[in-house]
Amino acid sequence: MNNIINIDSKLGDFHLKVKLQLIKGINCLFGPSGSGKTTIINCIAGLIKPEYAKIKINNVILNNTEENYFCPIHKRNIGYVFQDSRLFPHITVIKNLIYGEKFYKGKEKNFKRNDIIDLLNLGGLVDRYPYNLSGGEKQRVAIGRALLSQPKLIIMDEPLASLDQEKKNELLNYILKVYENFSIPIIYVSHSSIETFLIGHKINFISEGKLIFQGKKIDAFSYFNKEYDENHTDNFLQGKVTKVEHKNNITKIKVQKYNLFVVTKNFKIGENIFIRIKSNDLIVCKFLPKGISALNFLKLQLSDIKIGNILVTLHFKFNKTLLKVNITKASLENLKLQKNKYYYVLIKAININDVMSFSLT
Amino acid sequence: MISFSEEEITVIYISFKIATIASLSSLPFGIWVGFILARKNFLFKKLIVSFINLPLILPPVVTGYLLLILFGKNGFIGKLLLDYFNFTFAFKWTGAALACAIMGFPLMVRSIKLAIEMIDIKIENAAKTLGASPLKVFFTITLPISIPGIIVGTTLSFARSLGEFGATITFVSNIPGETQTISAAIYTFLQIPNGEIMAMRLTIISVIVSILAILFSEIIIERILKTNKENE
Repeated sequence: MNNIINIDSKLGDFHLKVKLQLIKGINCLFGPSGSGKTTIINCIAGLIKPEYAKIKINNVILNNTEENYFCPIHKRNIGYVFQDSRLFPHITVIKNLIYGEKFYKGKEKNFKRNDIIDLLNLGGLVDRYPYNLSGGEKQRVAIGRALLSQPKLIIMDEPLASLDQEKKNELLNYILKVYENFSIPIIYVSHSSIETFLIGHKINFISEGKLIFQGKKIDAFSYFNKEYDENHTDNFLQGKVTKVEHKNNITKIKVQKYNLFVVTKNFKIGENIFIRIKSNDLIVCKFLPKGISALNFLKLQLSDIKIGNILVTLHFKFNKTLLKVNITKASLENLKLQKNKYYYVLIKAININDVMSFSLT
Repeated sequence: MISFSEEEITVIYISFKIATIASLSSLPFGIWVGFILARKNFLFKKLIVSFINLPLILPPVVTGYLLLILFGKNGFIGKLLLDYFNFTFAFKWTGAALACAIMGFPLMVRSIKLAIEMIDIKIENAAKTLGASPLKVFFTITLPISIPGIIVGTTLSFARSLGEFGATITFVSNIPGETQTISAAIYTFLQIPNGEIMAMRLTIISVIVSILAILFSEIIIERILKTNKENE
């Protein structure tokens, strides 16, 4: 698959300048609101006309401003799943689903109606109207509708944004199923790091209209922990399950040379997993504490102290990456912490809530 | 039971024929103009909007007189139609329909424009990403979603046509069997001695007809809205 996405466009004060390469997999665009993620995908889908752009998807040129060529939206063959689903209110679910299929002129259909209905579990919804659907159901229909237009590429713009946590997980599984069954390239836009790391094969960090990082998930982790300045709150670590204590509901995970205990028994020994530890959930201690309930102690070297407006972010060396810990300014004064010295970082096992299975792709 | 005289039946028939033709034949133009006013911005838009709304504000007699000047046998357009197509609106029921269509047009455009403005353009963009050309988007998304507004607009134009008097009588006169509508007939009966009873019969008929027309459109709109509720 040959893809070029090259956009240079000014919208008011905002300057978007990116060069992207897509892989045949889930390509995540990650960045804060207003960083230009949605503008990029809208340029790809043709909803925005950029000043300068060269966009080529699957060897088909969609936009080339040098030759004054702009392919209209309806001829681009790109499925778009919007944040707000945008189902057609006046027709039933099944008519929504087959809306795009009618316009498809190609001979071979990669996405068959019944397969999609089964995969996304839409069988019970087909005769309903969109106003009768829940948020999660709407997004499933929107995904099905996009797939049935027989696209070469699927774009998803924060498809989980309007859902509660339980529904988010459910829909993420459906999205993964779509990829596993059809191996269609997907661009997934999100400002949630956890969604991004959970499903992305290739991860692109967008900041203020620029692409500041692109790479595999494993490299994205260390970039996110170490160099991504806008992150003060999350640490993503990757490790392997070494022991499962069913009686106590505790799983032991080896993260490089450290052992961490988390509350779960959903994983098997040897499984690769990744965990998120929130910087606000960590405690710093000058001495190894005794008689304390916290299960995890890490002796780490303090490499940097970043003083923010309200909190202080401590950077601890953690093998090749960093562990970020947020403490108050009062604590910093009381403890008189110094750079390059070793301290103990404490984590309650139950504060490690996000433990996710992770295949190294 | 009321039994209608032949004269009354003719008057009712002509009224309905004129109102139906007037509202239905102006409908495509109403949708077109409504869509353009809702979606496009162009030079002198406000001026054109004022021009379309003119029949609402002008005394109907003035509208009728202007039509006479333009479409009469010696009128600017009327002469061309007569010379090249051997067709005239003058003193014909078609002329009455033209007058009614113009009188009802601002009402029709107003409600269609409003309905189209209510549609979220994002929904139309979604349809485009699914492969629908702008024309197909119009016919499969824009038009069906704005159907309630279109029905309201058509009903208003129809109702306006049934009640139209001034412009019609000025333009095509009051010819029994050709251009004499219910309103014109009531007026005529009031001019002759002992005509009050005939006038009253027609008045009652016109009240019943108007109520039925409005009820009919309300029922249709309610039915459509039931199956056509907005997303969320």
